[in-house]
Amino acid sequence: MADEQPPYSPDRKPPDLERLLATLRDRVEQRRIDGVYPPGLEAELDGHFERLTGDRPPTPSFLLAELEQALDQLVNFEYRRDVISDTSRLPGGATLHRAIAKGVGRQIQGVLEQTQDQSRRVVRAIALMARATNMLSDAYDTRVLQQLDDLQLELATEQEHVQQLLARVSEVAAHVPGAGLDLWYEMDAFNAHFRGEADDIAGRYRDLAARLVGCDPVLDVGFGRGEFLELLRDLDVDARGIETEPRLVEWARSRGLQADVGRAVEYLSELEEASLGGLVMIQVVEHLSPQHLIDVVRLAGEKVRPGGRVVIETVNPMSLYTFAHAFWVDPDHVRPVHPNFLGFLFGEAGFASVERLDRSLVPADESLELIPGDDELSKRLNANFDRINALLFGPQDYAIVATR
Amino acid sequence: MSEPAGVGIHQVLVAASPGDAITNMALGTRRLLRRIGPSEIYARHIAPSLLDDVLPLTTYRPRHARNLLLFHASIGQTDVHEFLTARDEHLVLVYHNITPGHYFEPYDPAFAELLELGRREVQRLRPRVVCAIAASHYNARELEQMGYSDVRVVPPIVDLRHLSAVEPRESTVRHMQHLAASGAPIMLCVGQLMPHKRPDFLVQMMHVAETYLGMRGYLLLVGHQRLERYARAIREQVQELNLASVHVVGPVDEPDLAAMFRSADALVTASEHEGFCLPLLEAMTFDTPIVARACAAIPETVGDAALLLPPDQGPAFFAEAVTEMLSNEPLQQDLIAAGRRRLVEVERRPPDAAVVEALLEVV
Repeated sequence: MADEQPPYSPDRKPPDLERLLATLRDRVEQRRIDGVYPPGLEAELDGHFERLTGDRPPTPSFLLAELEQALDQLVNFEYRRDVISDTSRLPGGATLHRAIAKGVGRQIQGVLEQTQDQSRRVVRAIALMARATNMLSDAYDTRVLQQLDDLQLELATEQEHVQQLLARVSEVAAHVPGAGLDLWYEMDAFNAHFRGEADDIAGRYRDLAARLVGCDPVLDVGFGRGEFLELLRDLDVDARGIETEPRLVEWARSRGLQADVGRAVEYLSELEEASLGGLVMIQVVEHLSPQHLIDVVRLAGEKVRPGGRVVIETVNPMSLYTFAHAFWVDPDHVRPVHPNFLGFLFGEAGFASVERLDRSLVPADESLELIPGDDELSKRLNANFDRINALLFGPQDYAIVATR
Repeated sequence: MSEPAGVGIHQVLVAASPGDAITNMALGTRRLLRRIGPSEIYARHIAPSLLDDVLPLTTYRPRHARNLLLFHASIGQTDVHEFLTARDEHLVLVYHNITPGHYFEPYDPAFAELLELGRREVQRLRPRVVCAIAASHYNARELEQMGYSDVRVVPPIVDLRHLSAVEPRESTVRHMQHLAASGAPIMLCVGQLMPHKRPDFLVQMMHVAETYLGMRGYLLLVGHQRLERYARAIREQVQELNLASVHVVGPVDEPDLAAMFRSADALVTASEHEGFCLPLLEAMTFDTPIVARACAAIPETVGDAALLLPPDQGPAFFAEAVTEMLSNEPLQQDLIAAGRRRLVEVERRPPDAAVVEALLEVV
């Protein structure tokens, strides 16, 4: 505050400027740390000035500002007689000059006045030109601005349209099988919760793996935790797997398995014709859209050589038990695939034989118990129970072994 | 025609123009020399308004029994150099320093070459020079690096209090009062709008101070704009950084400058190359505190009477220093008091006697 300042005294001691400079240095440093000054501020300012000193024409707005300033100076200029020197370095010259100046003073004044008038007219003409230039530039600016406004409106409408389309696309994508879910939970946790341990699974598939001996090379589409690939390796079958999840691929590779990131249709399309001896899809086709499913079977017909085999296991839609228990547990399941349709597809795709195997039988204690006895009523009741059991408690999975 | 008796001591300039520091110095020196004998100023280029005061170099004739030439070195000029090497009068060199050409290369390569030529010519003149005078120790060191020895340091012969005695122009006083009425402090930078004076640095400083420190204040850049391309870049810099508070004033006469000094809250300069820098001492005569970068001869000119900033610090540091100074009343008073002491110190050693003594020794 001003009233707290010590009064000025010429005898004051010199200030401790070194300490002040150190304080200032700290203050600047702190502001940089706090982000008050953006990083590279001074370098950016230097770059800005360097660009200005480069060889380039001035901007129109700068030129107009300069023009206005120059006009201001012109308008304010006055011709003056008194600035015409009448001194001289020659002895007596000044007296002579003054005498001449006195003699022709009126004429000089007349010339100056005319010149001044003429200048005013010139200044007025230039000012009008400048105004016209400004108006033209303003009119041009207005038109450009109007066009910019129109463009911005159009752009906004288009952006809204694009947003709607994007929303629709993501809505559709959510329903497109194979597009994948954006999971926030760990897939491992899901598998551990709903599926068996890796060893149990290996045990369950040993028989199917054995059907591929001699069918090298085998492609395992959607290998998951890689149990089937390991079974094939144990059987000395040359096998490679593909998965959509890079993390799973890394994990499989770390266990010495051959694995790539890829999707069924794209990956198979890239393969040479008849280059596969076997194709495996364990619990995969129920994740595919109908279009992808029929494309995959067509591609299997092209890429598996004659004599080669396709092994598919999927949920059995002919057992209503599966819908009550397993099928809808996995949110990525799209639709079950009927064994008859799958058999039909392979037949159409040129496979010579299609064998269907029942798998994952429902525990016997869960199906309806038959009534002991040999009488007609018991027989008829048991026949009905059998039909109900077949419909309700049929095998949870089935496998197709199609030979090309 | 017989030569008049006595000693003629004449000065030689490359160019004489009104308001130019070297021309002013030559005029001051002539006033002093005429007390002891005939003295004229000769120049290769003369501004029309000085034709009555300064003679064309081609008209020089040694008119006295003994003649001495004082050459004010400022820029390269072949005619002047040839004239000086061809004459046999004793030659005294007054070195005001020559701005290194590299500052001008991007804007005016021909001018940059003339500056470099000026330095080479000063070096070549060495065998002809009987006495070398430098305006500062900084300049003396440069001469010594060019092979000169026994360089005398004599501050420029000017009346430091001349400007503060000039009656300020009333209209400019009113204009400045109008600016000051907003409550925003006024900073003055006095010097030609040239690259080595770094007005671009000050504009950057104002940008930092306004944008990041919330400072409100005016910066007036006062001085000739002889380098059109550079001056244009400065005006565009001000415009593009949207600094309504920076006024590129251009050249002003003494009544205008006096009015500006009277209203200024600080004199600021970011100059990197000065052989002396007279406006700093003039600021002290107006009790105007100074913030400057500690470059070239500036530290020895101001002594402890300025807030001198390290040359390696950028515009952010300068902004911080200016903001501090403008809000720190005791600091301002300290600097003003130091300025008054500095003036007394400078005026205690009047250069006149030193120059006359040096000249008489070599006549």
